[in-house]
Amino acid sequence: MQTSASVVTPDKPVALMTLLTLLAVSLFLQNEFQTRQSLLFLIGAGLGVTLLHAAFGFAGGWRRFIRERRSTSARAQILLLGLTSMLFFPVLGQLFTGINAQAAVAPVGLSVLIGAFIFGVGMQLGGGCGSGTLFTVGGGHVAMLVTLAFFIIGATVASAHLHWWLALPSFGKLSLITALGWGPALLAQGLCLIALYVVVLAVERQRHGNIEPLFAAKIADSSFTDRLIVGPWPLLWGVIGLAVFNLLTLLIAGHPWSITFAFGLWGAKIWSAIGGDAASWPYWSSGYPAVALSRSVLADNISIMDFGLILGAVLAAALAGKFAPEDRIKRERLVASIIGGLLLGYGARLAFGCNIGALLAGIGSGSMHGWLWLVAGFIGSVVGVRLRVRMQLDPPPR
Amino acid sequence: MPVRRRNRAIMGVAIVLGAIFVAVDHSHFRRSLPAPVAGESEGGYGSASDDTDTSVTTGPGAETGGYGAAAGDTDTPRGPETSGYGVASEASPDETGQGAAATSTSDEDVSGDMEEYYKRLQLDAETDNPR
Repeated sequence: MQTSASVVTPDKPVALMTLLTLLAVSLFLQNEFQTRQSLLFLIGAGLGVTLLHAAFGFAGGWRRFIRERRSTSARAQILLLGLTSMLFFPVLGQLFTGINAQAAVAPVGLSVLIGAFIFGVGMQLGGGCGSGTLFTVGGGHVAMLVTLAFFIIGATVASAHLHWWLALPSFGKLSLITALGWGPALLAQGLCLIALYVVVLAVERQRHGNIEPLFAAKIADSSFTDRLIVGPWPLLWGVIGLAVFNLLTLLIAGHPWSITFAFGLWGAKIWSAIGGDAASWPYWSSGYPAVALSRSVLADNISIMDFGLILGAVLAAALAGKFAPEDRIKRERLVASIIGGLLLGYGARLAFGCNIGALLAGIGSGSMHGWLWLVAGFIGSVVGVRLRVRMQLDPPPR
Repeated sequence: MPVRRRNRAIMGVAIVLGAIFVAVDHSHFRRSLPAPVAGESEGGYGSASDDTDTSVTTGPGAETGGYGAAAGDTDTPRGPETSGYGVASEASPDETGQGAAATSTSDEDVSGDMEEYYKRLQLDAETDNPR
C-alpha cells in the first residue's frame, strides 16, 4: 500500500514539546555531568527516530518469517549485523590507535542459551523486543507500557537470581577477533551472515515463489526531506541509521549500544526506594552495578540512551502524526503483555542482554555468545508465535 | 472519552511519572554528596569545559561490568548488559586509561565552587567504574 505524504498531519504540539524537552535535557546533562552524557542522550534520540520511522522491529520481523516465511525484516536485520560488524571490527581490532572501545564479549553458556530462549518467547508474547518495546512505548502504544513495566520487573527479579544462573556450565568467552584477528574474523563472520541471508531468501522463495524487495519505496510522491522528517523510512535507512548510531555509541561511550541493563537498574532503584535492599543482592553489591545503583540514574549511559530513545520515538511518531494511536487493549493482549514483559526482562538479564545488547552488540563484536543468542532466541520465538495463536492474539498460520 | 485521547492521557501520565522518578533519584543522589570544604576556593581544577572535554573522557569500558572477568582481565570487559560478577571492580586508573583522573577527592582537589566540586565527584565516580 502506498501512502501519500500529503495526508500526514504532524502532531505539532507534541512534536514541539518533545523537541524542547530533548534540548532542555541535553543541556541539563551537559551542565550537570559531561558532554558525553549529553551526546549519548541525543544519540539515543536518533536511535528512537530511526527505529520508529523505519519501523525496525526484531520481534515482528521474526514473527512474519516464522508465520508467513516472508523475510524482508529478517534480511534487513542480517544486513544490520553485517554493517555493524564492518564498522566495529576494525575499531575493536585496534586498527585505529587512540580509540578505546570495548567489545561485547560474554561467556557462551547455559545462561545465554536459556535466557535468550526465554527472551524469544517473551518478545513474541510481549509484542516487542528490547528496542521494539522502547520505541513503541515512545510511539504511544499503551499496551507496550504494560510490557515495559513488567520488563523492568522481570529484569529486576532476574538480577536477584543471576548468581545462580551464572554458576551453570559455560565454555567461557569466545571472541572471533581475539582468535583470528579482526580481518579474518570479519571475513569469517561475513561469510556466515551471507549464508544466513541466502537461507532466509531460499525459504521465502520456496514458500512464495518470489521475494519481497527489501528496498521497496513506501512513499511514491514525497521529497527526500519530507520522508526524512515524517517518515516512513525504507528499511535500508533504518539499517544505516542504527549501524551509524551504534558506532557513535561505541566511540563515545566506549561500549556498544545496549538497553536492558537500565531496566534492572530502574527496578532496583524503585525496589530500594520502597524499602527493599537491592544493594545487598550479589549482582548490585559489586562492580559497575553497585556504582550505578548508588548514583544518579542520569549518570548511567544506558539509562540516558533509553530515555533519549523513547523521546526520539515520541518525536518521530508526532511528526508522522501517529502518536498514541487508537489502540484498544483487550484482555488477552494485557495478559500477554504481562507474561511477555516478565519473560523479556528475566531472559535478557540471563542472556547478558536483549536483541541489541547481546545479539547485535555480541555479533557485531565477534562474540560467539551473540550467535548462540540468535539461535536460542529464534527457537524461543517459534514457541512464542505458537503461544500467540493459543492465546488468540493471532489467527492460526495459513 | 475517545480512545485516542485516553491513550494520550495515559502516555502523558507515564511520561510525567518517569520524569518524577528521574528527578527524585537525581536529587537524592545530589543530596547524598558530601558538602564541599570551605576555603578551598583557589586553584581548583580548571574550567568546567576542561572537566567535561578532557579529564572526564572515559577509558575503555568505563561503564562496564565485565563478564565475570577476574580483576585485571582487560581483554573482555563489557558493557552494562553484563553480570558484573567477579568483575575488575577495583580496576586501577591505569587499567581504565584514566591516569591521574582517577585520583580520589582529597582536600586539595576540593574547590569552594560547588559546581566544580560536584563535577569533580562525578569524574571520580566515572573513573571508579570497573572495566
